[in-house]
Amino acid sequence: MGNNHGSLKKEATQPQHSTTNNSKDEKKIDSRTEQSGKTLVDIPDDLMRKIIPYLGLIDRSNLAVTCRRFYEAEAKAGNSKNSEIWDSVGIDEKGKKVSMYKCFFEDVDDESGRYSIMRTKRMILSLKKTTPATTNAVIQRIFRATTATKMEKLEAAMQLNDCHSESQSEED
Amino acid sequence: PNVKLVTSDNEEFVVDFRIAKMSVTVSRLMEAMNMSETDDASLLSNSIPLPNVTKAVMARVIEWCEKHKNDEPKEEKENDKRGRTTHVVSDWDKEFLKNDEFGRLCQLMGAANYLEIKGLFNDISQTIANMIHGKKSDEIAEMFNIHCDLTEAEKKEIRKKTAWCED
Repeated sequence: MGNNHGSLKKEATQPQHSTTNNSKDEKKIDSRTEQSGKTLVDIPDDLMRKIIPYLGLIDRSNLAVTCRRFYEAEAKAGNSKNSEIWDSVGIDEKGKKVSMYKCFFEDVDDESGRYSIMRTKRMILSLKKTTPATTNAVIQRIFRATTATKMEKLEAAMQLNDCHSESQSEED
Repeated sequence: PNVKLVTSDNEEFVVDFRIAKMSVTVSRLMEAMNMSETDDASLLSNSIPLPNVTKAVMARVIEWCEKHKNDEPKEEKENDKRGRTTHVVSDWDKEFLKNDEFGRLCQLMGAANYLEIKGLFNDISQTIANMIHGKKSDEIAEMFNIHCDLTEAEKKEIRKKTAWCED
């Protein structure tokens, strides 16, 4: 999330209202938008970027995929605490933030309950026993793994298992 | 002591000094114009121009400020357990914002941002975020009449990048 998005090739365009006259247009969920004719796309980018941090990770993701402008606004908006932890995962050298990572993964588990994440969490917890260098190497792998697809994450989690076993052997 | 505020449509509002000070922008302008609470002459002879706020919106801003002028400074809880910036919107504020149609809400938010009235800005941001919260992308698009200008390939790319936090 956040700045990790990179950018799509086309530039963001100004507010886009749908011009199609299908039945969906008639089913507005919130009466506020019906009354005024103004919607989220009428909010300037700078204000939109201030609203986005009030959204959770999944809400941000859902907003980002609605149109190019919101995709880019989401990418530029302030990161939530979790995203910041996420971004810092790859650069922590001493593994001191393990407890923070633990909280992060618990949050992710709450929202998604994904097996690969849970498995990765177990890896994180086991890091307490490893050396800082190994911890860093493992964290780097987790970082790569969990910004990738589900299968890639699962694969990385399995690699982590190997990495952890290796580090335990080294310490022994 | 009172302060005179003049809106973009040349409407003059005379407000209590404490209310004027709730806006960081107005506070800065008063300092720049050497207007102080203890100097009645400076307050009487000057007015603060607010070219980005209309009469109708200013009236709403002042209504909000009147209600909150005696509030203790609030310590904002920056992030909740799930990483969201959170702001508790009081019952009075919910009621205050409840009947504003979306366009008015946007104008009020713009004014709160320009005037730098953090409490009001946070109330509105949280209110709008609550409207988005828990909805799927197609529901958000439908609700706000958003035409998606992303190609299927681009959507897929975004989904891939955000897949780790989705079901």
